[in-house]
Amino acid sequence: MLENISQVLVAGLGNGAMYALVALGFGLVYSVSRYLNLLQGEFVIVGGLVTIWLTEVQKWHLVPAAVVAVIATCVVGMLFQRLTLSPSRKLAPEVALMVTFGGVYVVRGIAMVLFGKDPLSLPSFSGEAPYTIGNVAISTQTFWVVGTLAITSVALWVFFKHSLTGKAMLACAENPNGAQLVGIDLRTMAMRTYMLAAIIGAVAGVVAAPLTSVSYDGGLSAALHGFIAAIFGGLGSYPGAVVGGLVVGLLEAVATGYISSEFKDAVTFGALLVLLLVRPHGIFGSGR
Amino acid sequence: MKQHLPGEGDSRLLFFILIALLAGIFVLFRGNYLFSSMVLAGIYAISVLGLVLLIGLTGQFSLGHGAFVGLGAYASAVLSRHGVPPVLAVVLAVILTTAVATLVALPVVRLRGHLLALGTLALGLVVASVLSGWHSVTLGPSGIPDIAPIAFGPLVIRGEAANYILIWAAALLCLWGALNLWRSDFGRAALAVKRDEDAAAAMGIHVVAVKVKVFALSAAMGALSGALYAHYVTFIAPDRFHINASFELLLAALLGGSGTPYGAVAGAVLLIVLPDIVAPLRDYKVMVYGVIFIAVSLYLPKGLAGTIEYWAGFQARRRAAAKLTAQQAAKEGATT
Repeated sequence: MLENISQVLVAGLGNGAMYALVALGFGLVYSVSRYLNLLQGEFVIVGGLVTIWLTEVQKWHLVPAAVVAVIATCVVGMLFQRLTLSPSRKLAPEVALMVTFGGVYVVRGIAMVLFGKDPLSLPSFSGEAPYTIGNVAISTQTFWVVGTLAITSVALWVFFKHSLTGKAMLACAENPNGAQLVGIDLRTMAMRTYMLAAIIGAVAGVVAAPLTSVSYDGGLSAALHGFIAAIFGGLGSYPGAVVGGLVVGLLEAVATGYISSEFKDAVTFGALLVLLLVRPHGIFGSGR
Repeated sequence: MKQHLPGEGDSRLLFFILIALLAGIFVLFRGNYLFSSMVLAGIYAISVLGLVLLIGLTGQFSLGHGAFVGLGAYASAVLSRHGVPPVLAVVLAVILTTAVATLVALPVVRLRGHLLALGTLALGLVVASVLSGWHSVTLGPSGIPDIAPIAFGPLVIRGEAANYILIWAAALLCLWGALNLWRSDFGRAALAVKRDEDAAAAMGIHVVAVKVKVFALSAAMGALSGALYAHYVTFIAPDRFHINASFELLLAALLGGSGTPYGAVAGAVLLIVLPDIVAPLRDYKVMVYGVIFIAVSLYLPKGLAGTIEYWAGFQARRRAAAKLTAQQAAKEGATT
């Protein structure tokens, strides 16, 4: 029973790290631009699909394929932001959310045409043989995903702490008017934040592709899991997003292992509903 | 500034024009292959009307409205499978769904706008996964076949013509109710909540109560449309009520316009016509839907019905102003 539990928890860890990455992107855009970007899940899907297409169909090596996938996703995000959400016009948060909801279907529609309707998958980066500790088998890809989460978190911390752009972004999140007064261009910052979120999403898509097969219509589900994670930790809180993602992944794994895989969505989204009611600002969030 | 409300001008006339149009379609196109689309349009009109009330009255957005349509359809289908007469099953399904919606709404409507929208999206996914996962009751992903048609005593509502009359009668009844509700004290209170929650509360409006009531009403309409759908098509499967269905309903509500209940009828008809228009695009359909959705949210906040109404009002005001200046000129001409 005990090793059973650890097996379940390990299974949840990989997905949880992926959700945490999505939640980080969610929080970034929300803290600077104050809207919820449902497209965050599409970034994951685009990153994953482009990598798979380049490596499996075009027979590229994994590394350049991943780099191109991340750049492509970043361009997609930038175009979408420029064409629709660009803060030159002030959108109500509900309207912005609607626009990203429509964007999900635009990206999904294009992905369906380019990559087909069948779910695709990528072989694990370091071989299919799992790593075993005692009775617990861990897919090697789990280490990749968790490692990526750790590196991304540290990189973000350094970026916000030590780079001028990062500090400017924090200033925009803290006080948009004040930031503008000291000469920070909000439009540029909103755009850079959006691109950064797209990059993080794409990276999550690339490393998580071998864990879960990638399908053109999986973005909304990924976005919602990431959103649950972001809400759990408090929107805009970066440590919160990481903890939230892991909790959601583990919760889902426990629900799959002990209730039924068909009800795993019901359990996690039900948990989101309960959480939104009890603590709409998240476990670590401040009541803003 | 006086708040422009639908139904204050010639909305009654519009209502009778609509009835005449529907009767004309019935007489002229009963045998046509497009006729079944018009039956579906009636079903859509009811659920879209629920969304239009939610968005138009209290300014709440639901990304998971398909959940209530699905609950209504399944509750009615499951009840009638277990021997409940279909009419009673429809009524019970609506009551049941409204009860569920109220329970969910009581805490959820307290969330701010975009968080509510995501809460409803989550609800939509929960319901979809329960509908396909709860095999013993819903028969799983393959769906429920052979649902009994609605019958009033010996009169069985079967076939397109009979369903057309029943469904559009229900839709018109809901529309009439919505038009009256919009003009009622309650409607005005809800519009005040949409405009400014704090000001509405300061005026003595119980904001949460108003929001919960509108949410429950919109869920009830969704359930009614779902139940009528189940007994009309006699077969339902969970994928009909998935998040894509919610997306289409919201698209119809935004496209038709949420400023007036007529927007729901316009949106529903557009939703039915749209697949035929975009049919040549085949695989690009999803993308085009998304583009339309974005364009409407950004550039057409009033929707088609609202925009037409606005321009009609604009023209009427311009004519009135022209008449006034002409009168004044005549008066001045007489005095000099």
